Amino acid sequence: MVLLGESAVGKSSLVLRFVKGQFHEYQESTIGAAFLTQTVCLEEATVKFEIWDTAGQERYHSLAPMYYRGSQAAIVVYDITNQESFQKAKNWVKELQRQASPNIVIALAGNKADMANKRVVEYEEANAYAEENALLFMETSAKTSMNVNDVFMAIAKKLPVGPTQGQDSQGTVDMNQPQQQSKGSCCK
Amino acid sequence: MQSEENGLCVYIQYIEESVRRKTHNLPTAMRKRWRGVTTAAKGPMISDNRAVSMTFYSQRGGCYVEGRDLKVDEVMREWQNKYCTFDDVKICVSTFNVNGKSPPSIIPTWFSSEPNDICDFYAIGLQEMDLSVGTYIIDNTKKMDEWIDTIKSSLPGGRSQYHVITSMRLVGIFVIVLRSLKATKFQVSQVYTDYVATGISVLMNKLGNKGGTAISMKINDTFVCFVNSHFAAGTSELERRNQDFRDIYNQITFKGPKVSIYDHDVVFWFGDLNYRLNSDSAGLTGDDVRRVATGGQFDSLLKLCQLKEQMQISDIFKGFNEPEVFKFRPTYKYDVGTSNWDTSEKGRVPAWTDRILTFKKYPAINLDLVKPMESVETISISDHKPVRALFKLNIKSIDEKKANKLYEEAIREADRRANDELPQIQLSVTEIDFGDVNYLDPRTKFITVQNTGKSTVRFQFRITPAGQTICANWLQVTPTHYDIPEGNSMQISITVSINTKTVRDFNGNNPVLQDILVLHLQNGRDYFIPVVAKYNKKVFGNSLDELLRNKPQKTENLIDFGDDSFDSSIDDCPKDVPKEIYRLVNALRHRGPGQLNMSDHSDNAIFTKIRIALETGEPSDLSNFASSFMLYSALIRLLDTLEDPIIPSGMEGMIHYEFISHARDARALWKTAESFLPKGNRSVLELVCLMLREFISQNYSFRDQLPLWSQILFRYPPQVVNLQTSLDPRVVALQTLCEYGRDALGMSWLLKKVNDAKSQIQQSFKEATENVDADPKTNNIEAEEKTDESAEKSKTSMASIIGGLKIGGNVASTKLFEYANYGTEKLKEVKQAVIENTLIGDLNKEQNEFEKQLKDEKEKDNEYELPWNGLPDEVSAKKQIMNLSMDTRNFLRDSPANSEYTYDQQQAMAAILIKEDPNLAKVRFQLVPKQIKENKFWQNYFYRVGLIRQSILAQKDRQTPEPSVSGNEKEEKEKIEENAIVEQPKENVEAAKNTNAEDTQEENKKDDEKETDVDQNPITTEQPTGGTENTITSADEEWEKEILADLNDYEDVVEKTGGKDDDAWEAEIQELLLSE
Repeated sequence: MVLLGESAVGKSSLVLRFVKGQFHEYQESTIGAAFLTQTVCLEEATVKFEIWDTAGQERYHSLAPMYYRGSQAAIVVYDITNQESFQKAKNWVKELQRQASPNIVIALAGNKADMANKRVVEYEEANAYAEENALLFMETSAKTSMNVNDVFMAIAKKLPVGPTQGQDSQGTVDMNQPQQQSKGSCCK
Repeated sequence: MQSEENGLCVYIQYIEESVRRKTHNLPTAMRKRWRGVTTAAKGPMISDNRAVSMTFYSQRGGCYVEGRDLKVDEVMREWQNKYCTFDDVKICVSTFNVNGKSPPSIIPTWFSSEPNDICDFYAIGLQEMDLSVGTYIIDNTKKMDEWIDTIKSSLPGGRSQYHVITSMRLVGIFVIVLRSLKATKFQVSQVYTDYVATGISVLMNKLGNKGGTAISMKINDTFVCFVNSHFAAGTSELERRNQDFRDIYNQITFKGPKVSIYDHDVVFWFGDLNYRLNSDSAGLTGDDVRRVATGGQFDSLLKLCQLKEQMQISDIFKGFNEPEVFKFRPTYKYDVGTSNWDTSEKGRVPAWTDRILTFKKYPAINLDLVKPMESVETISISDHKPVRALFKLNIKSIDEKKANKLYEEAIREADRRANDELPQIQLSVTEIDFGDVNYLDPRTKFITVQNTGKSTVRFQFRITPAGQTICANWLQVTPTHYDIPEGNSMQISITVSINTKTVRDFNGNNPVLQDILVLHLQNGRDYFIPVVAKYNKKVFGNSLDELLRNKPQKTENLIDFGDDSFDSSIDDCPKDVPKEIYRLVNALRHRGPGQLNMSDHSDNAIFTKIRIALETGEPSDLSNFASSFMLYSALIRLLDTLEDPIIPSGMEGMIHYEFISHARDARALWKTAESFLPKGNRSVLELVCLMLREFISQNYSFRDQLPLWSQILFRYPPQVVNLQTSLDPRVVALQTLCEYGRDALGMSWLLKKVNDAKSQIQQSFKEATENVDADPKTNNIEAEEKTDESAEKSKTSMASIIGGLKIGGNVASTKLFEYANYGTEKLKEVKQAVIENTLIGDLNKEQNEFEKQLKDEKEKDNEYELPWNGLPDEVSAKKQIMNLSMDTRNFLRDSPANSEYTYDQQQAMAAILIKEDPNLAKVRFQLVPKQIKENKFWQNYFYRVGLIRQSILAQKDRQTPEPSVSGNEKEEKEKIEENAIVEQPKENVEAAKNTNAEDTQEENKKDDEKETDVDQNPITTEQPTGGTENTITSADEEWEKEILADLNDYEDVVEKTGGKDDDAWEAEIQELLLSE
C-alpha cells in the first residue's frame, strides 16, 4: 500500500503510529519513500501490509507512480487545518483513479483531528467528496492515535479476499510453492 | 493436511519485484490453478495483472502453517519449545552394491544386533540388485522380493519385528524403509516415493541403470527424506557423477507437502556414489593404493577422495555432512567371495564408493551420529562391502493448539523484527548542487553511504518514470549497485558530463539541470537524491541568434583594398558571424592547413582553455593560443552544439532538398542559401566554405574532411561511408560550395596574402639575382640552394593567391589578377636565374586548373539558359511555359522520361524558373514530395516545356540558335580568361606537363570519372521512340490533346533522353530518406 498527500500532513506519523505505536511531535520530513511492514489479523483473514510512505514535496511528485502503480491500496492524507492539502488530496485521488490499478482501494484520511479548533476542512465536505468517489473516509489523529488502526483495518476488510471456506486444499500447497522452491534456504 | 477449512490468510505483497518474479516463475499449471482459486473468491474480480503481485493462501483460521512467511517461521522455530515435544528416534542406514548377486536367505552380520544398536527405523539402499537383462524390459519383482526377505531376516531380532513402510525401485537401485514394531510412539505419515533415472543416452535413461530412488515421510512432525543413488562409474567420469547428483537433487518430486529433497528437515543420502581416489595425480599406482589401504593409513587416502574434494570446491553435496575420518578400508573392489582386492585384469584401484551423507535444514535440528559409517568386511557376496551408520534424530511433535495460540504473537514478533531489520544507511548529503557546469568539463561529487544497520545492505539506483533510466543523460552514477557489509561505508560518484548530444536538449539562457536519483535499499526504503546543476550556455549549446545578440557592437570596417589592411583582430568580424566562430576560423586560417595535424590527440584541458577564451573574448587572437587541431575541434564542437544546424532541414526537409537537388551547381546553391537561410547562417556557411576551400586548395587530402563538415552543417545522422556507397548528396553540395565560393569575406585577408606574395616574390627575385650576380661561379651550388628556398616560398605564396582567386569571386578578381600577373612577370625573371626549377611548372599547373574551372563555369552559365531564350517568339513562348504551372496536372500526369535537357540542366533551370515563375514555386511546394517525387515533378514539367519549345520551333521551321552568351559576370570572366591565356607562356605549359604530369593527370582523371559517372547514366537510358501518345494513359488523353492542340504540329518532335532513369532516382531519393 502507499501513502500519498501533501508534505507535512502526517503520512509518516500515521504509519509510525500504526506500526510502532509511536508519535514524534517533530517528525522528520521524508525524502524518499520509507518502507515498513505490518500484519493485521482479521477474523477471517490475515493481511500483511507492505507500506510505502512517500515524500510529499511537490518536486518528488513525478516519482509517485513508482509506488502507487503496484499498490492494491492507498491512503490519501490531508490536514484538516489546511485547505490546500485537501485540494492536493483530491488531485491525488484523481491521479490514482486514472493511473493506478483499477481495483485499488483508496482511503481518504483527514489527519490532525486533534487540532479541531484550527479546522478549516469540514468533516461533511470531505465525507461528501469521499462518498462521491467511493473512498473510505476517516478523520484521524496520529498524535492521539484516533482512528489510526481503524483506517488500516477498514482497508484490510475491503481488500479482495482469497479462497473462501472449503476451497480445494491443494491450493494451499501451490501457494507455498514459490517460497519452498527457493533453494537458498536449503543450502545455507 | 495443512489446509482444511475455515478462513484464509491473505498476504499482499506490494511492489516487491522479487515476488512478482517468483510468481512468474511458477509452472503454468500452478499459476492457472492459483488464479482459479483467487477468482473463485467472493470478493471483487481480480485481474491477472493484479494477481501476479499478490500471494494468497488459505488456512484454518489462526492456524500456523510452516513455509508461508519466512520471518514467522523463524520466530516459530525459535519458540518451538513452547509448543513442541521432542523424542529421539534411532535410524540405521545401510547401502550395499550387491553386484547383481542373488541374496542368501540371511546375511547375519549386516546389522549390529547389540542392544544399543537396535534401531527404530532401518533405511537400506541396494545397487545392482538386479542386473539380469530381463529386468530392463519387464518389471520382474522376483529378485526384489528375495532381497526384501533377506533384509528382513537379517535385521536384529528377525523378520517378525519389522514392517516395511515403503520401498522404491529403479531397476537395480532399490530403497526400503522398515520400522520396528516396538517403535509405537512414532507416527509415520505422508509417505511418498519418487525416482530419477540419469545417464547420458536416452536408452540408458530408459534402462535406468544409474539414478536415484527416494522416500519422503513425516515421523511425528519432522519431515525425513531417504535417497539411494547409483552414480556413473569410472575414475574419469567425475563430471558425470556430479551431474547425476544435480539431476537427482533437482528432479526428485514428491506428491506430498514436501515436494523436493531440500524441503525436508533431514535428508539421508546414501548409495554407490562411485567417487574414486585421485591416485594417479598423487603419483600412486594401484598397488601403492592397495598397500596403503591394507595398511590402514586411511587418512592419507581419504585426502585423495574425489567426493571429499568436490564437496569442498563445488556445489556437490553442499550442506551435507559426512565424518572427516574413515576407520574402514575402501569398500571397493574385492574379488567376490573374499576380502581380497580385485585381482582381475582390470585391477580396479580401491575406493570408498559407498557412502552415507546427511543434511539438516536448520542448525537447531539435533541429528547425532551414534555409530559412524563403517563397512562390514565379513560380507563377501559382492565386489563391494556394505556400509552402515547409526543415527539419533531428535524429532518434534507439534501441539497444534499451543502453536496456533502463539501464531498471532509470532506474526507480531516477525513484523517487529522485519521493521527492525530493515536496512539502514546514512547518506553524507541529501542533495547535490553542482553549481555552474560547462560543456565537456565533467564535474564529480561524491556521496558517502554508511551502513548503519545490522546486516549487509545492498543498494541499487532505481529506474525512474521520467526517462526509463536511473538518471538523466547528462549524469553518470558509479556504481549503480553495491553491497555494503555491516558497519562499512562506500562512496558513490555522481558526475555531470555535458557533451554534444546532451547539450542540444537544454533550453533557455542558462538552463538549470535537475534530476532526482532514487537510491533503493534491497528489502528496504528508497532515498531521493535531487541533483541540480546550472549549465553555462554562453558559447557551447547556444543558438546562432543568441550568439549574435551577445556580440559586442563594433563599427564594421569596410573592406579596405589598400595594402596591409589585414588584421587578425575581431574588428574584421562580419556583422552576421558570431565572433566566437569568427575567431576560431580566423585563427585556423592564419595558421593554415599545414599545421592541422588530424592525428593529434584531443586534450580536454586545452579545450577548456579555448572555451574560456571564447567566453571571455580574451585573447582575441587565438592563432597562437592552441594547436590547430584543438582549434579545429573546438570549431566543430561549437557548430555541432548550436541549437539548430547551420543548414536546417526546413519544413518537410525542404531546404535540404533544395541543396541536394542543386548539389553540383554552385550558383544555384548560393542562391538557395540566400533565399532559404537566415543571414547569420548564410554568413557562417560562407565563412566555413571559405576556410575549407583554402585548406583544400593547399592540401588536397583535406577533402576527406568534407563528409564530416557536411554532417555538422546539415546535421544528419553519421553514415558509414565506404568506397561502395556513393557520397551523400549533401557532401557533394558542400564540396561544390567550397569549390566555388562567392563571398567577399576573405578579401582583406586575401589582399594581405597577395601583398605578402608580392613582396616575397620581389624578395626572392632580389635574392636570386643577387646570388647570381654576386658570386656567379665560385659559389654556384650555395646560390642555387638559396634560390631554391626562396623559390619555394614564392611558390607557396603564388599558390595561395591562386587559391584565393578561386574563392574571391568576381568582384576583386581583376585586381587580384594584376597581382598575379605581376607575380608571373617577376617569376619569369626568377626563372632565368634559377635553372631547372619546378616552381614554374607548379604555377602553370595551378593556372591551368584555374583556367579550366573558369571554362567550366562558363559552360555552366550556358546551361542556365531559360527555356524561352533563343526561341523565335520569346514572349509568347515565355507565356506558354509560364502557363504550365497554372495547372497541377502538368506536373502530376505521367510523361515519358524525356527532355531535351540533362538532369543537371534541368536542376539549374528549375532553380531559375522557380524565381522567374512564382507560381511554379508554389505548385512545387504543394506537390513535392506529398503527391509526386521531385524528379517526376521536374520530368513532367520539362517534358511539357520541351513540347512547347519544339512546337514553336517547328512552327517557324527554324533551327535553334546557339545559346547566347549573356551576363556581365560572364564577360568579366572571359576577360580574365583571356588575360590568363595571354600571360601563359607556352614553354611553361610544357614544363607543367613534364614535371607535374602525374599529379595533374590523376586529379583530372578523378574529376572526369565523377563527372561522367553522373552524366552518363541518363544518356544510356534511351526512351523507346513510340511517340508521346503511347505513354499517356487513356484517361489523360483528352486533356493532353487539349494542350497539344494549342501547340500546332508536334510530329517532328525529336525525343531526347534526359534526367536520370527512374530507378536511379528512386535509389537516390530512397537513400536520402533513409539517411534522415
